[in-house]
Amino acid sequence: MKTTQLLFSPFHRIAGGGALVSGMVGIGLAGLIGSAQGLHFDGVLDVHVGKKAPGWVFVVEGFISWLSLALLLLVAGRLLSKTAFRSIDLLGTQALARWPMVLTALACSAPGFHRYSHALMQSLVGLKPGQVPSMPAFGADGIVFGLVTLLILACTGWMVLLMWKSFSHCCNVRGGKAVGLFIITLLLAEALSKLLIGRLFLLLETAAS
Amino acid sequence: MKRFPVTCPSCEQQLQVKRLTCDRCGTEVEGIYPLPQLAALSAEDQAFICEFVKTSGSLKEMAALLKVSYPTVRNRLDEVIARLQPPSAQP
Repeated sequence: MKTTQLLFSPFHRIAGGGALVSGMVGIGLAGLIGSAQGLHFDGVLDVHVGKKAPGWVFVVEGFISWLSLALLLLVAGRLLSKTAFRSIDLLGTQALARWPMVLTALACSAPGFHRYSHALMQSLVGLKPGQVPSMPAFGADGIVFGLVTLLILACTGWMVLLMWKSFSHCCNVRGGKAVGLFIITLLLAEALSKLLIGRLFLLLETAAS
Repeated sequence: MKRFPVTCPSCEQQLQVKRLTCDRCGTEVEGIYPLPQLAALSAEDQAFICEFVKTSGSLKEMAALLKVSYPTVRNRLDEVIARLQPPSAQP
């Protein structure tokens, strides 16, 4: 398989159970790497440095994000597609499409990223409306932060592209109608995943108190 | 290897059979006969259908044979099905 095909159209060769297992490994790995640095994948498209939580929460967040989109796309595919596609292909390839998040998690562990991120957050805390924040000094940490942010954006774009390719290939849909339905489903899945992850944290807080 | 032509090289209209010959006695039959549906498909599509029949119509086996994923074979089959539809039924 050519490198470009492997990176941008892997579903030509990989789908079904193999994609599901590889994808789930990727989601778990991203969650575990994230848990070591407080990096939450708290939504279909979200990556945030957040509060500390048990390690399993980071992994579960990834699985909630994956399932929110995969299940909604399954419904969308059934509505739009004229072909008899298998659910496991869509679920598996959607899981595999989240692999760029492993790269994101690794990139965020770059030295200096969290230091600058924390300094940036501190400069914004307690800011009154209209007040100009005093930005932290843009040294080596700032450069690392900038590069990692760019990489996060690239990985998120790459992931969305893979999500679309998975939907388009598995359900055999293309054209404006399919793109429109994919975007609507993506937005709905983002809202659903945020809601479910919010519920998870609410449950954790209730259990802790 | 000579390829069986199915479309006109000049205007791309589907070709028809005009003359048939018996290889043994040399008898020739002339007329205008439309190509059978399968013969009108491209050589690649015909090869795909042959493999499909040989695997008893198993898309899973076809995917393993062609070293591609199941949806790739499914989509390829959908393309062939679309080409077999009469032009009025095509999307």
